[in-house]
Amino acid sequence: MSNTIIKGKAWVGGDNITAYDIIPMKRWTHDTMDPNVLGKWALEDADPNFKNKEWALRDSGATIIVAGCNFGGGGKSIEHPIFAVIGAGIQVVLADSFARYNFRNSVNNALPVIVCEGLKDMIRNGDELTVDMVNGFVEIIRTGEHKELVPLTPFVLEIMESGGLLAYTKKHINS
Amino acid sequence: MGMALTEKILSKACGRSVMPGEIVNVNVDKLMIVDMSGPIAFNLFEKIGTSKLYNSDMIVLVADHYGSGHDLKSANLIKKFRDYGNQYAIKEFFDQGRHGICHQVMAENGLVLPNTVTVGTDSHATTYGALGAFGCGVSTSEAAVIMAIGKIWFRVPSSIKIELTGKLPFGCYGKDVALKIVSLLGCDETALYKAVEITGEGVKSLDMDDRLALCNMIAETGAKNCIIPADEVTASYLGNKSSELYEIMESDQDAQYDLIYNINLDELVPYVAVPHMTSDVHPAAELEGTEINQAFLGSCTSGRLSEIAIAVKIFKGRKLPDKMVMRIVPSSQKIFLEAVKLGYIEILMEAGITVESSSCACCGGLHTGVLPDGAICISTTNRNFRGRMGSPDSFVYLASAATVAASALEGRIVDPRKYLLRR
Repeated sequence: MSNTIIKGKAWVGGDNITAYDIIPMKRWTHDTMDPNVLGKWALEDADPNFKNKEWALRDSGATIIVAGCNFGGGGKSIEHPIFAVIGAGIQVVLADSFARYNFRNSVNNALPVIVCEGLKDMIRNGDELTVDMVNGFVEIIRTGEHKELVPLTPFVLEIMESGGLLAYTKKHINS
Repeated sequence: MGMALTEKILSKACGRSVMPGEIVNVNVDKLMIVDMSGPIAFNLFEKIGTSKLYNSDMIVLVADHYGSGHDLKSANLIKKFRDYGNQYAIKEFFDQGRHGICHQVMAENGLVLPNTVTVGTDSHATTYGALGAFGCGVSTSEAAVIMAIGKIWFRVPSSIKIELTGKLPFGCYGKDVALKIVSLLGCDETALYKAVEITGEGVKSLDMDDRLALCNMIAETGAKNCIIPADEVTASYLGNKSSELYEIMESDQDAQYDLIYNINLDELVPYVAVPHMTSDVHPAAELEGTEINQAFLGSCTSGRLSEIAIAVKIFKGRKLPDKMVMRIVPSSQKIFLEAVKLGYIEILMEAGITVESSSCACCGGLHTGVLPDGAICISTTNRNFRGRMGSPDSFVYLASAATVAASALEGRIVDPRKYLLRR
């Protein structure tokens, strides 16, 4: 994670977007997890406009996801949802809360996931945002409003800065 | 300040006292990997660039999600999994013939011990808490890292205590206790990220099959782990399965809990979770008459010998009604064999029930009895989201083996207790 300030357009969703909504079961791959394959179907079942449309999220121009509570729930330990979202070009996910596996898997794959309660109710789909992860705020460009977010803990930041848990482990094994 | 059991186990695993909220790197005792995530996990492990496993004896491989291979794709994935198992000389490899559903295989082979950190690449690894272990699911990347260094990071969870009083009443099982608790805690609400500790006098009336079903289903609350402190029931279950010694550990008297619930087991009745929410739980008696056309007894929540025995009791000398499909999938090859030896399978097959070799089967909608459009199924499994067991146009009711079998017999949901009185 070289960039701690992310500017971009937001896709806005509701509460309880499950792992299955992020990447429908019929789109799962079983021998590898390639963002360039999974990315085609990111959020397919979370947005009616994305149904059966390849690269719908990427082509919408959104690079930020904003959602309600329990993002990525449904109890799945699989990492496909994270690779789908990364493959579609998403740089940060902000939500009221995250499901346990979604939070861990995002951190482990260097996708910033940030708790920012109430943000989804302050913005519209397609709004431009500036997310400052170190200073801990989001700016909504259309309204000029600022909203505080929960900054990442140092350990989580370290994993992300290494490029994910595998790269972090590799670095520590070889040092 | 006192510590809850989960905090104590994590403290032991990282060599110092830990506090809820802290992120710690802990030593893992056992890592279970299923066929569905195995090839990816080994592939990621090789990318870390260390040539050998940290400790091949801590790894357990189980082929369960894909069954015996239902199409060429799954057959080839099982082969890939097997090839990795052979290449890395994994001793605890439960391939076809020794197979079963991962969490049952772990328990029945003495691979889960009290006070250990036992994780698996499956979200129902919370099941290991039935034996007093810290058990939770990990991802494929995390499995790869554990293979390389034997450690993984966790945020130490705070605990919720569920104090059971009374005794499990007639006609109620671990599954009913689980449904009651899931309805109290909600799905991914109150218990999100937390440890759920189940204790109290009432726990003594839960046998190991009840406990395994209970800790399994608590995953639905969003909890990180569920734990029942080891006691005499645990010791007698482990009996000759493991010769390893363990110390007795429990929460301190002054341990801190976010919430404490009291449940009087005497007041429980058979419950059913209705579509499409695991926490939408009602007494079976209130749903009596709801028509069903399929029944499934199996999965890591159920399918154990005591549960198959209940179906036998209900179906002995009786027949499944026309237009009703019932499938029983024992949760391991060992259990299947026991059931054959006891004559159970003959009784079930004569009743018109389909009995199949152990696997995860249709629980996750993958194979072996996947629900078609319009199916209304009563099932012993743990999840009933839309489309979980197959068609998005199917409906899944969750209940104990007794409620599932009795309902299958009548073709509609019933309270099973009237069928359990016969000898």
